Amino acid sequence: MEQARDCIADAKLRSGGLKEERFREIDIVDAVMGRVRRLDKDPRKARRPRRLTKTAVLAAAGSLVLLGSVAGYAATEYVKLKDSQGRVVIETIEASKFELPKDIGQRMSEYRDRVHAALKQDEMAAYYVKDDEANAYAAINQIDFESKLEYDTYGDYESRMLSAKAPYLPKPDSLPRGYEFEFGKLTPRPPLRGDPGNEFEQIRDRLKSAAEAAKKGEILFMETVKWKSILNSKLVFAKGSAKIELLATTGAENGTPKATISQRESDRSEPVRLSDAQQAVYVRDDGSEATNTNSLAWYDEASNIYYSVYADSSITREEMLRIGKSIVQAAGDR
Amino acid sequence: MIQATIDAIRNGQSDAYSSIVRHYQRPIYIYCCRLLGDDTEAEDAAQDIFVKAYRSIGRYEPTGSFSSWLYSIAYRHCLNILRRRKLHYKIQSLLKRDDRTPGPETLVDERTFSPPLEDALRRLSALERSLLVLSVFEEKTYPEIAAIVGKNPEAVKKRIGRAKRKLRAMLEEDGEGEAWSKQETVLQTRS
Repeated sequence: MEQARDCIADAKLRSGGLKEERFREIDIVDAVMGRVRRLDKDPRKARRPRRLTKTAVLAAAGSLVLLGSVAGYAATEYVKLKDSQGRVVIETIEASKFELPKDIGQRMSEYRDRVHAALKQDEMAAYYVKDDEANAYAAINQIDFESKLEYDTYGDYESRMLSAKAPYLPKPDSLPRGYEFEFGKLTPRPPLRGDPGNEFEQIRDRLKSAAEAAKKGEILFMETVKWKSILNSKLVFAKGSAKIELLATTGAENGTPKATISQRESDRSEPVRLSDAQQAVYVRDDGSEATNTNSLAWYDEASNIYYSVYADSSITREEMLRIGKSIVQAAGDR
Repeated sequence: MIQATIDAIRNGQSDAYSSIVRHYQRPIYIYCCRLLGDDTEAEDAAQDIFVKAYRSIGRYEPTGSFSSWLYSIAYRHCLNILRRRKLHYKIQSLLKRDDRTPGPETLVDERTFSPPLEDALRRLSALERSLLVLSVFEEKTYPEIAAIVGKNPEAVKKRIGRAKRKLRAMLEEDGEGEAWSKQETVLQTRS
């Protein structure tokens, strides 16, 4: 009896309430994510989640992550560099110990390779992968971009870097002995979420619609995207299997530019000077045999470009600083 | 699937959180509307709830349902608003004025509840209103509601039963109980 009475009470309540479909649609994603990003920037307001170490450099919404897989010893100290207005433009932060599950990382890499293989020189593409598991770890429900602007000779790289008005990154005068040009690469700036004209959203919607309409078994959906400017310039020099990588990245288009360098618990980082006006952060691990155990990063305020140099432990601190100084000199002479 | 997203967020991929917001924004907003009875306030509350959830995501235990965990944050947040509002009304009644004018969205949109029901629900305690909304509209089970409000399922069942009886008494008192009584009579006859 009581149960029956409850059922009536429920029916009465439901009939007096607005049905779910009558509530208006809302979209608070951008508003919430804006607040989340602001929280992440201010550790006093919220505990910052540990940053995932990535091999890619992103410059979206004024924040970028520079690769620095370096380990060292002694108590960890973090370094901050400020610009002329007192804003922190580079800082080292605790490196995340998180790694993508191996199979997920491998799948994501395979998808990227397939898109890359389908591209012609000078092209960029957006792609969406219909793989819920991989999406959960990566750009969930979002799209990714891949491009092919790769150069086998320094001359080709240099002329395209200049003609495309890419971040200025010349070959350093003082490379350690035996290192030779391996390749140069330019990465276009992809459309970003919230850009005027909603290009990102339109591409994403098209790709996701295609994925929804596709037959079972189709996983990868891509379309070429016309790029407008270059985000990164990259140069790689090699001596056998040892490599030195140089990267120049456009800083924030609006807001405060800021780059973070991952620093593991035992890393050693220090502020260094590359010229009278140019400070940099140097991070090193002499004990590790891993690649990129040696890194140097700085921000050129005049051109709004972040520079970074990565090498293994066979390169000395002095050699790293000489590379940095020669790039600062070349950029200043332009 | 949701756990993978949470792992990614905990490890620094804060952008992954947007998928959670996108997935749950509407149910949480509707839940807030039903608890608060005010559309604009509900949208603001939903934003605050997602920011709170992001800040607390490190404390989420994968043993429970993520949805219940999110609703528990929404429940506590709305309860606080309702308590503050009650205090506000008390102050307003002391000052003999009410400057709480509804925003344009409130005026344009339909009411969350019919006027008699809204009035009766308003006279219930915040906890009772929450329990009824979760049970009747959100159609949560007793164990789910228990997890959301932090009480045991048996106690929740009893409180919901009492809240329904209280609500029925209020509606009958206001003359809205006629249809209710008729239905009940039919049911009694049948049983």
